[in-house]
Amino acid sequence: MGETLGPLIERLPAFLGGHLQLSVAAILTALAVSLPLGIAAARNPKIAAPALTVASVMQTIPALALLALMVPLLGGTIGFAPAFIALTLYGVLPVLRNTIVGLQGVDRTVREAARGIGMSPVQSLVQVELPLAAPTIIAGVRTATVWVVGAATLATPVGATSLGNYIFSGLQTRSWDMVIFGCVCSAGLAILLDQLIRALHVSAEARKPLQAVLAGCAVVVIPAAAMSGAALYVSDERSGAFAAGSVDAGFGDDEVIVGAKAFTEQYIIAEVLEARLENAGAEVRRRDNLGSTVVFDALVSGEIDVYVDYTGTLWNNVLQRGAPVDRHLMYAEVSSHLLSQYGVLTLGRLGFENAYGIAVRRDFAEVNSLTSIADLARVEDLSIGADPEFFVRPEWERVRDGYQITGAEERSMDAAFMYGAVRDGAVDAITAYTTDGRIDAFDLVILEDPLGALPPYDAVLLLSPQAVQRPAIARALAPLIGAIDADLMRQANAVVDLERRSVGEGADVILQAVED
Amino acid sequence: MILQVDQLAKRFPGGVKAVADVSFTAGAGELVALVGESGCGKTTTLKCINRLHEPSAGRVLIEDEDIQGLDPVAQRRRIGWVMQGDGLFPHMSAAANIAVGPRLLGWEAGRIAARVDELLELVRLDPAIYRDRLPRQLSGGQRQRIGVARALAAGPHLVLMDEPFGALDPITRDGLRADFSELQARLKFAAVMVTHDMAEALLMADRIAVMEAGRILQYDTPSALLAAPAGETVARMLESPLREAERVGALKAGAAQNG
Ligand SMILES: Nc1ncnc2c1ncn2[C@@H]1O[C@H](COP(=O)(O)OP(=O)(O)OP(=O)(O)O)[C@@H](O)[C@H]1O
Ligand SMILES: [Mg+2]
Repeated sequence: MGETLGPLIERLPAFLGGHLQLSVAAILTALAVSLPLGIAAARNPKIAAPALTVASVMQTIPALALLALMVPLLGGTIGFAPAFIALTLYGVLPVLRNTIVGLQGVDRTVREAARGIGMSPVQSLVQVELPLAAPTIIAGVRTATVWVVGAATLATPVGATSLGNYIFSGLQTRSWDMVIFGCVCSAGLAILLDQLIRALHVSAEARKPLQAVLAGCAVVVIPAAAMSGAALYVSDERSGAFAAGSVDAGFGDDEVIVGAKAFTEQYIIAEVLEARLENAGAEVRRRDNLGSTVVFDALVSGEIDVYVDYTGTLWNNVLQRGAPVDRHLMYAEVSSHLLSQYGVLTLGRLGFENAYGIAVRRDFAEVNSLTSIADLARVEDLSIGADPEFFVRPEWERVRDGYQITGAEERSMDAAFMYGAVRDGAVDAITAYTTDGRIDAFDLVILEDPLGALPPYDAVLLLSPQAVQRPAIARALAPLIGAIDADLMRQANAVVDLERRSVGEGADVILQAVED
Repeated sequence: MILQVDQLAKRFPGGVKAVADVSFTAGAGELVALVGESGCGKTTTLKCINRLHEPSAGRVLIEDEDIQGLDPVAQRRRIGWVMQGDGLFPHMSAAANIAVGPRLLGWEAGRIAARVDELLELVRLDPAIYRDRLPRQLSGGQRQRIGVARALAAGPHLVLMDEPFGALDPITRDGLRADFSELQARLKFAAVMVTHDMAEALLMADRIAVMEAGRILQYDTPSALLAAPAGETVARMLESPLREAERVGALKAGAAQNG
């Protein structure tokens, strides 16, 4: 275990620091919003009803969706800002509700005593009502803390660093120790903060100023320590980069930010981009696990400088076009559209295509004599597994209607699980990624698509408008164009997904092939 | 004259006439008792005096000033207020409860601390033992003593008390009444006391206002009341404590003869 924990712990300062910064900022802001609102609402039912309704609605939106929605609402900004706002909204309800309930629960005769003895409304609130409602309010703060710390793990896909980076990367590469490590850390953090707040309240209530001060310090110091740890970690990385690179390689003072979506191939490619840029003397920062639409928005707004996307995805999501066209035509149209509409430069095609392909087990294909997707129409009780994104894409509609497999059972699952599912017979067919190493390893075959219903998915290297202004970036990455064919990519993917080795080792496969 | 209540009336929204045409006065060192059945308007009358309710009609003068022209918050700080039930702040120690009034008036800490101890001794609670107790760590009688101490803390010229000695055992109650009367004789504040208990009113008050359905049936000294009750209701209310006293007296006489 020590061997596997080492690299995990190495990233802990950055992930934990980001997680703490994000959750503490969100909790404090949620407090600053919901306490005054709760106080006003406790006296005025006209405020209470709508405030509670809005806060409850926020709560019913799944945290992941709330986070993702913030990105377009903020005009494509990714990272801290959208995560912070979403988590703040998420933390408002428990504090708001408990403030209202706590204040309304204060005995009427006690409130009347405060007034009768000559307290002004503010004095009565501060000296009598709030102290009496404090246990209820604190309970709300503790609930909010646990919720927000937990939900902060979901901030990873919108580009905020958190302990969720372990969980998302671990899920995609099936590194369960990484997933568990992320979960344990975030649960531990939630429990720790919860207990600190409890200790703070207990000692304040017992009027033990020393203890209260200690607990208060702990609440402040622990996050601060973790954050400075993260800062040290970052500065370490930077000085490392400086040492390795030449003084002026034409990258300017800013670091180059490499983005990646949340699956193995993307991690490997990002690692390759990072290595090439660093060798050329750039300072590089990574933003992994971005949601698949978030990542393009982030490129346009300059939050990231470079990442790899696929023509078919851009065709659908960015150009919003329907039926696919010929592979080369699609590439030409996509690249000219991105440049004219967004100032995004398509540096070129990497050389491989990572398309969706309908894959079945070889023996299943033989028994049912399947060669093309059209043959699936003959299979009874057909079930198809795919990532959740696929079933809402237009190409699924075209496949389903074009080949008349409308009766098929649709089974959404994480992409990391679908290969195992078809191998074990849990589903009959899956929408495999054509570069996945498990297609060969699990003896799957990809069915032909005579109607051309599934669009081509050429991997293309995209540069943000700002990155275009820094030619050193294009120079460092240009040798990758046309250098990674489907075989090479499949091999690299297999190193990670099948041999269970690190993403770095997967990237080495490509780097060695490119560097001769 | 410290307190003058003149034709006071209070009508609640919805039309409940809780108080109508109530007049009485209380000078320095005097105690006026408001007596009557539950719901007859005693608490409402008190609350009109310290403006927890705004009177619908009539006038209240405190030290010859019409309260209508005063700031209600500032005015309440000058009046001692003992609530029905003890009305103590459950999260504050006995000392902190007593100190609320002086703190609101901006006394300095040393003066407040000395005053708190003085008042605890005045209501016969050893400061060393009781100063730091929370209300829930006190008996009902001790809580009511703290309630009285809190009302007297800022040295008010007028004290309003809503059943301050209710719900106590007879011995504690007798002791507390005697202590209070002695305190009042010493400090010379005017007091209005609401009570259900005619015997208590007869023993403590300089004047008694007997109320029914928001109105005063009779307003007189205890001896005048006993001598000439105005009407049947007042007579009936006076009867029960007298009859009890007679019976107890007879029992005692019988016991002495037999023994
Ligand atoms: N805020 C209010 N709104 C409407 N009616 C009220 C309000 N407060 C009191 N009343 C009514 O006014 C009348 C007098 O009430 P008050 O509290 O003065 O009675 P009381 O003599 O103090 O009775 P008790 O001995 O039970 O305390 C009652 O009929 C009561 O229902
Ligand atoms: Mg009453």
